[in-house]
Amino acid sequence: MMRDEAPGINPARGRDAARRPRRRLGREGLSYVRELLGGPALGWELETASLGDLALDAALVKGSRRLELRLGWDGADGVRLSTRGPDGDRTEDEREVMRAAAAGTAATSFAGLFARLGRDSLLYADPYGGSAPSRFERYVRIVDHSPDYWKFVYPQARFLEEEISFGVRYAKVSHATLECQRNNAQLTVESLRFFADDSGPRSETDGATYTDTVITEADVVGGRTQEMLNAALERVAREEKPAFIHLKTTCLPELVGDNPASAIARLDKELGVPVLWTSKTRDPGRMYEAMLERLLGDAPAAARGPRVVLLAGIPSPQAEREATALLGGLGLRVAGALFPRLDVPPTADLRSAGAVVWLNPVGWEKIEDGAFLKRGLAVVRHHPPFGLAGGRRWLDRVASVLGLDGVEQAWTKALEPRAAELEALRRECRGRVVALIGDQSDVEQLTYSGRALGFSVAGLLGELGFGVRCLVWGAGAGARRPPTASGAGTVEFVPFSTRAQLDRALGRGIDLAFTHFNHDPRLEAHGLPGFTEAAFEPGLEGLLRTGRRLLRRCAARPFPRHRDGLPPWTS
Amino acid sequence: MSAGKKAEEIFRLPFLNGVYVAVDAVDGAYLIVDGPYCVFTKAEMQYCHNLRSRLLPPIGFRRVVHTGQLQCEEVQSLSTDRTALVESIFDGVLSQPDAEIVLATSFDFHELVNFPLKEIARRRAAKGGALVAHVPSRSLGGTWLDGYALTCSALARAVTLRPGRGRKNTAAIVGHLRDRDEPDDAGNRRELARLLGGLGLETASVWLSGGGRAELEAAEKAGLVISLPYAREAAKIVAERTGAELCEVDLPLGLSATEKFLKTVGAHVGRGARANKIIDLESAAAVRDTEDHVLRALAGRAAKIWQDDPHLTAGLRGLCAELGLVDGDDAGRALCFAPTTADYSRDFTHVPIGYPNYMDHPVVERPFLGYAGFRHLVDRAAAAVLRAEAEAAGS
Repeated sequence: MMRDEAPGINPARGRDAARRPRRRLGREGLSYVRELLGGPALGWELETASLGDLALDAALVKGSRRLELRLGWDGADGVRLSTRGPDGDRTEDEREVMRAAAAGTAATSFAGLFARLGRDSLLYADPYGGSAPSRFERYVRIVDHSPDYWKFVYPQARFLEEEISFGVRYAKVSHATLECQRNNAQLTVESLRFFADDSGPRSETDGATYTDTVITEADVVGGRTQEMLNAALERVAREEKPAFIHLKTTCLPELVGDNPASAIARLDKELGVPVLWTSKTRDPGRMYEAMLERLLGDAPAAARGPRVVLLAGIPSPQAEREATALLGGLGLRVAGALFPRLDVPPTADLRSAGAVVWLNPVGWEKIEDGAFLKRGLAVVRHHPPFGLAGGRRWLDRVASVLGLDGVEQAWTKALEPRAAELEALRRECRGRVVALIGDQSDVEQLTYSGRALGFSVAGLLGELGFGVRCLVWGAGAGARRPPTASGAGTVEFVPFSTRAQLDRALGRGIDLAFTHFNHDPRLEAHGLPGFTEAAFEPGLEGLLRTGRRLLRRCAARPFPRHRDGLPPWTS
Repeated sequence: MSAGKKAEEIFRLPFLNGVYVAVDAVDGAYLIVDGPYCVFTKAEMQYCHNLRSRLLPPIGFRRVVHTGQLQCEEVQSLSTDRTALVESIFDGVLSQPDAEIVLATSFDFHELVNFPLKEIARRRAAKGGALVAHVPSRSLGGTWLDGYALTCSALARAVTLRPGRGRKNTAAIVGHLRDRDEPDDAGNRRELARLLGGLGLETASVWLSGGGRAELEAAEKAGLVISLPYAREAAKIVAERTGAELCEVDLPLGLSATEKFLKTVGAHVGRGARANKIIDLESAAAVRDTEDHVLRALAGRAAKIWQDDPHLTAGLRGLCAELGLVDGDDAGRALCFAPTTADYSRDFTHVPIGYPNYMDHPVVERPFLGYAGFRHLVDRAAAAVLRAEAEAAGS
């Protein structure tokens, strides 16, 4: 574990506390909690349930009423049931529900409850780590980065609409000003972008039609913006007849109060054209979940095959193929794939699946699994299968949640044919040193397994045999650690506190460094190439491709004999 | 190209894009935009267009600063008194040691809310030190060329320009579109200065050129302001403030337009004969140098001009006529003189020109204005045609 190999590095908590809840209940967990709460009684329904560090939080609903319960640790090994609000305010049937819940939990062991709920709990963000501040919070909002000369890590939380692919039979309608529409580079030329992972959306949108309303000052002053929006939707629905419309509304129309809800309802009813509406001020996750509901339909649970699964969170076709093969080793058949694609091909037999397995759920936290759970599908949502250890853990989790055997055999079958190639790759990687740079918090994000990225960058580099050199800003001389073994490679810690020290460190035997900037002057002063988490792929084939990709970058340092001519960044 | 849309709509860019181009063209300039975080992401177009853009340094102080602190602006945040917040942002920018000029303007819906940005800028300007100027926003309707021109006008009103210091035979060029710090623009400026030099005029200042406040204020040394089309109002202001003569010319793109440029300026300074002599020599030489390329590779082909820039469009139309390029769909695969935005198309033989241009970043000087520019445009167009033909044959 990288955690043991990072002396002196303490988790940064506090202002960047993670989104909560990070863990929610899976199908079996929900079923167990319903039972524990006595049904719930008197027509109440369990709306949500999530796992905190030392408590289960649940909400029961009945009509417009809501009852929030907490099942916490009672200090011994029992469960303490509590609810929000004073007892005297409760209605009689709320008190009855509470009595039934208290009876159900009276003889329950707290440790046993958590162990049981943890068996198929869904991981939305690592429960042990702080959630990294997003690029928006840490870079875009800050004007002066002079004091951040040491900072290379700016993880991005993308908008869902940049990620999801709807295929070719849809129409996009943007309700915005021209100024708003042209608020980015427009055309993606990877080499030119400011951030290295801004090479474009994971989704493919070729073929979709595009309509924009182009709101002007006269439209706003004349009160015409709502009319323009309705007219655009109507025209697109009638003339283009798309499978559905993706409507994006932006700051200005929302500020002046435009609301497409009635137009959306009418188009759906009269023309049968659904509209997916994403907006600046609404939770987009719910909109996509509504689309998911339509896709999944209302097939009864009995029609679903227990060994048929949907794969979700697909980073690439290669990763999908490999995950499908791995799941096949457990006797599972993949019936279809979701996210980033939401244009499921007709051959995908979505309605026959009995479970959803998330391949890489990182970045898809806004998509919740309620649509699956409501239909009785089991859901596996855990750390993604990056690297050897991560891949094995993922397969273990799938088997555990779905009650399957044969993990060892499936894993060995996947690993054996690639073992020789992996060893050869490691021999090459052992000669290379990769730098991870930042303050303690950043270095943690890159070294500890399962943080914001879903995997440990240092851990995977170690599995590949690289030497990992962590340059830690402000850590003090005591944080220095010589190289020690990490996987097939090594990891070491080198503190720095000035620009000059960082510059010298970058010039000493480093071949590659992690940075989210596409053109980082600190690295370019040494002709050093950079990389981001985007270089990593899940799966064993993915690990091999990652290794080869990083080695190519290590070898791609220009001006081998003339680097003195490169402009310094420290002056 | 998207179906059903005119090129002008597809390539149309809004007001702030032009303001960014102008700010990137003035050394030591900063821009405060009353608006949300998109003000930051918008600057990336200039970052991709200009490999040496100074707007977004990865480390250091950003040249384009927004006032919004939320991911989306809400009614509440816009209706509260943000004066103190925005004043503190001015303080931050003005405290930068290299801040010579601080401009301020508004992003679309911020233009409507009547926030006293101009008043804050005026108060800051009165304190002295760095020059502070407000650029009236046209973000909800203006084009990027309006943004560029209005920024130049704001500068023309704000910089120090003392009257009566203009020298004979010295010119200031005002209204040059300095879109990037790359050798195509350097070549254009060199060519403009060379053409004026041929008429016996020394160039004291170019608006805009990448120079800072000193470069702008050097315009007071000019007895003649040559007004190029990208900042006509600014040129008038400079001429009025300095007492210089004003000579309005069109963009010297292509042979005929270059000749017209020389004749107009020559006539204005009483050197028409000298202009004609230059034209006789240089036009003939340019034709000799390019005739093989024009006759063997270009003449008779179809050409499209897609620009959101009427001045560049007019220049390119003239160029196409000179090269025997025709506007029609029946002359084979068309050459396309267009910027490289989202609708960049593989269906045409693309010669990237205009704003933004992501595809073409010259290492050596490669102007498109004047006689030198004519040669380079022929060179690029012919190379594009021959490459496209070879690729088609190969496929």
